[in-house]
Amino acid sequence: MMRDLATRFVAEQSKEVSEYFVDKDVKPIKEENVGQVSGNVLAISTEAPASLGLTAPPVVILPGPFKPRHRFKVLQQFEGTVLEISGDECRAHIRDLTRPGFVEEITFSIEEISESDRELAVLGAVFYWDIGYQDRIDGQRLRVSAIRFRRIPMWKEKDLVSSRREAESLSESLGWKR
Amino acid sequence: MRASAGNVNCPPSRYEAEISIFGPGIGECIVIHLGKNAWMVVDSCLDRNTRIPIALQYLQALGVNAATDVKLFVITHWHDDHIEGASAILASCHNAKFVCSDALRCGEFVQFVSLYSQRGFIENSGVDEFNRIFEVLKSRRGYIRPELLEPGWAIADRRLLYYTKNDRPLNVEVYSLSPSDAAITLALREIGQLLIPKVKTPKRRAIAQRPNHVSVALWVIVGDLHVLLGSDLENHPDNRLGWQAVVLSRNRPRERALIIKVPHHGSSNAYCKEMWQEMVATNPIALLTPFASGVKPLPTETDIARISTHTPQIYCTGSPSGWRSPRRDSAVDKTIKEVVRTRRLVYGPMGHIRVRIPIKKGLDEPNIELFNGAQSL
Amino acid sequence: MPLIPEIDGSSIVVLGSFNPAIFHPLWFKINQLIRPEEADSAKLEVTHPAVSIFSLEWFKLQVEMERFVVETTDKANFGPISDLVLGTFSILDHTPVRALGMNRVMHFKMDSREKWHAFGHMIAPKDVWHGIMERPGLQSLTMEDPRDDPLGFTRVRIEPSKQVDPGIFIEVNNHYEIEDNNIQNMLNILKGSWKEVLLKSESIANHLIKKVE
Repeated sequence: MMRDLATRFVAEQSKEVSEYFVDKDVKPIKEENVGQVSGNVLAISTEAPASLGLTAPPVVILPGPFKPRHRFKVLQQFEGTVLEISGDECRAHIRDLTRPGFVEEITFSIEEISESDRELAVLGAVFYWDIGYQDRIDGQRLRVSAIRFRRIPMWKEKDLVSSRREAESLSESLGWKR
Repeated sequence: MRASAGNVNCPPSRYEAEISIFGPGIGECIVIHLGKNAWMVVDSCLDRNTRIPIALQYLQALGVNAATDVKLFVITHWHDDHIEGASAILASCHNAKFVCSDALRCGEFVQFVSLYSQRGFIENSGVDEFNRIFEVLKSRRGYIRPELLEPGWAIADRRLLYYTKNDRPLNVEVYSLSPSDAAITLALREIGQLLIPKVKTPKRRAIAQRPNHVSVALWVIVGDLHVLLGSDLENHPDNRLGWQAVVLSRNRPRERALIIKVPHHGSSNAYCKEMWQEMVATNPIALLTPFASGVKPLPTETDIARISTHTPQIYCTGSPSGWRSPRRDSAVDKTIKEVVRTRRLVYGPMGHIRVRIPIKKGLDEPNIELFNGAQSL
Repeated sequence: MPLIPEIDGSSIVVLGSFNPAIFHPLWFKINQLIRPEEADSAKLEVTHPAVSIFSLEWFKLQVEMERFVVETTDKANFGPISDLVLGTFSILDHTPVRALGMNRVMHFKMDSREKWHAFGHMIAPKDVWHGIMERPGLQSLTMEDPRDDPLGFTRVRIEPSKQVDPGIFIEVNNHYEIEDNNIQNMLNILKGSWKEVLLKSESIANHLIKKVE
């Protein structure tokens, strides 16, 4: 049976996953179990879910909603580009994402970068810099500055091959060749 | 000669040459009136408020029809600060010959653009803009005159535009002074080695390398007026490259320029004493745009002092030292201060220097106007 | 001034054909798509041949045989989840995919219960229900705007918020059909449209809420 899956995640998540795994006799997922953000899901129908004839193990108890331990209230966002790493200092351009139009040049200590991100900090690397308040699960509020480098996969042979092919065709059509 | 600020939207008269240079801190654009409502544009930068290329915005304010009246559009090199909004200019100027550096005329450059703009996953303003230029060039067939369809290529000592006195009341010529043959050979090698990424290296933003071998310096003649536009061309120890190659060329124009767009923001790397002594008039009008990025923003005090040995008339589109960062939420400002060591805004107001010279009967006294933060140094 | 939601989340949903068993934090760590420490401290919720679910501090990933979903409740991570999806499917570039959903979910707190009611009346006038219902109240409203190129739609769902009181829940689902099941097409749409979709979703929500401001 083909099901028309939607690309919206929120409300239908529980219903469809429950159809996969929940045995007929198992109660449907309750409303409050659906994602914190999406906690607006109406109570799942109490109709028994259709059997899909899967031979998977009978029951998987689905986890509760996505509840990060801490909530982050964003005050300011930048996108940065590394221009130079010199000793313990990083020079970068930062583009204001909260009030677009401002670009600043800054220098800062590489100590501000998470250790596991430091190897990513090279010429041309791009990072997010978010400033805001973190409300921890224990109720403590902290003012936070978080730099996170963008993790984008490496160049592949097929990127070079396909771009070379495209370049040949484009050069020909534009007269962009010697 | 004093600088003043008149009505910026007042167009030049038919027999008045105009050199307008715009610069917001990073980026520059030059708009030139060649007489009798013929215009040329060199490079492009965006008005950061409207996101419209400043050349198109300015021409529209003057009542100029960019579609018919812009005859030449030159991109001097592919770096971000000279190219933002160029595709929109190309798309609007149906009657303009598009010219760029002959050093970019290679499959590797097209491949570089294709790689970073379509497979890089990161926005790259210069490369993405060049990709859009390719799109416009492709789509122009059907409404552009055949002789304008293919790009023109700037190389040392090539004439890019020529109107005789029979075509119009004044002779108009535009020459490219660079890149030299040797610079092209070097650039072609470097494009393949430095710009095309290696497999299994991380995807990053494409950052332009220096020195700049591909940059197009231009010589513009309108009647008796000669103008040297230095672009970002720098010096090189090999005198077949950079400014030495230009000065030593036997085919370059032999007159002296009254107006000079100082190369590479006045930096010492682009200062060539011979160029000033042999190609530029005594006490020329020297125009600069600042470059507010970098360990040392340009022009420095030393650069200004050096230029002032050649002329007292030095004008810059903005403050060389950049501008103060905007104020934000107090918690944000406090956090930024705790994290950064130094900080400055690199884009400021779009400074504009305008030089107009009546040229019907020889050269008359130039009128220099400064707008929007442009200043005399 | 744009209104700021009390709760602001987004998700990226890809429909296609997946092997959930691959999607373990270790795989993301090896492919350098997340930090090693994040992989080591990931909360593994379900590991099953037909579904895999784990979460880090900043996102939750759920993969079934026909659906891949990553969600975050933190605006600071809207960019990183897009990078995660781009990175994942750049590596798994033979995956057949048929649709992409870029979604934003917002809960807005209303200044007063009167404004909350006024919003409900504005978005779903009650006049037509009088005479057949005693006390009609809005439970859920969905509007759809189809799109031709690329094929798909934008769907907006509005409900009283169950997280914020008095509050309005607005979900914007931006659905794209992927031509030829070609993953490169999907990646191009995600790369080219993610920021625009987020901004458009915000402006849809602002447009509606401001009607009663």
